[in-house]
Amino acid sequence: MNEARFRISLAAFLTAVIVFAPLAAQAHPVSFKNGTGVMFFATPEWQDLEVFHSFEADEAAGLRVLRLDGEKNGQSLDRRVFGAQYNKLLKRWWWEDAQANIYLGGGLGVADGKGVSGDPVGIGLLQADYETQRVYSALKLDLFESEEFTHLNWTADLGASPYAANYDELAPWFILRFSQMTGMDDKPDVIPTFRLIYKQIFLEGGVSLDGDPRLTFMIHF
Amino acid sequence: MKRFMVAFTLLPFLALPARADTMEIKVLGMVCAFCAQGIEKHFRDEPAVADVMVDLNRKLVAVLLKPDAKLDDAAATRIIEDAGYKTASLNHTDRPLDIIRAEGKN
Repeated sequence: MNEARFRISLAAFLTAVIVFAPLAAQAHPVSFKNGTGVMFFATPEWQDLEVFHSFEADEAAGLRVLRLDGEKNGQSLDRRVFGAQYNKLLKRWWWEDAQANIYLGGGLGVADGKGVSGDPVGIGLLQADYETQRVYSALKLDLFESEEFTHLNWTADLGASPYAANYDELAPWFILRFSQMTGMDDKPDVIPTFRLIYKQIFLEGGVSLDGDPRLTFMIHF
Repeated sequence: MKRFMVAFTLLPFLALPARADTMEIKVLGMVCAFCAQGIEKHFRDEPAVADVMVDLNRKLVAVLLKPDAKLDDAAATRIIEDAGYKTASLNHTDRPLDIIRAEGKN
């Protein structure tokens, strides 16, 4: 893809973000009908911005920008992926005091960066989670696949809250996270993480055992 | 004359404000405030709804209807489903939300 086409793609993407953002979003793969969510995740080496709108209780679509800015095998790795994605809640289990979910997602994007500009990118998502008011666990696979690269970000979370926070109370969570972005990280990171939830606001911060900080912010409308 | 007296005596009672019409809905799987936002949002969008209370500890959603306003059970159940949850039970009571809130703090 030449520069002009890339600029058009970028302009279309940003326009769509502007259109979607005021609708309010969800940051889970799917939230509630007519809910919108915005999620921003950042480490020093990669960032992910997502805006998703749930048009049904079990279906959502949105846009995302992934930016990788690290090193692999001694070479600088500076690339971006602009994508559109559809997510489906495949199955939800409800119990009196717990909930479990399986989500599946897929989409298409375009890459930008040295040697990859204009390359089409396939996006895939698989997420399973189980939670109560005191216990949280999740497994998430987030795939970015092109002819030139494969990045699979897998994350496994085990978390606990010191108390069962009610709807209008601040909910703190202590989470032990295992995560790796293949194609960039040589080994999985272990990341003690602290999460705060207050109504529609979600803030999470952690530092890997190697000292790399990371931050997640989400909001629902 | 006697009928007139009875009707006259009952008249002030007929003019009393209607008692609260509250839906008390037990919801399965409601464990997280972040995920339960849709329940409050969708009920507040309903013209018939005066106030909403969500209690994660009791898995309870209490919906106070405006005087003389109607929201049928099927519509309330659909709102819970659109928020991604499942209704376990739905009862109509005349309890104000303040009383229901206070019960949750005990």
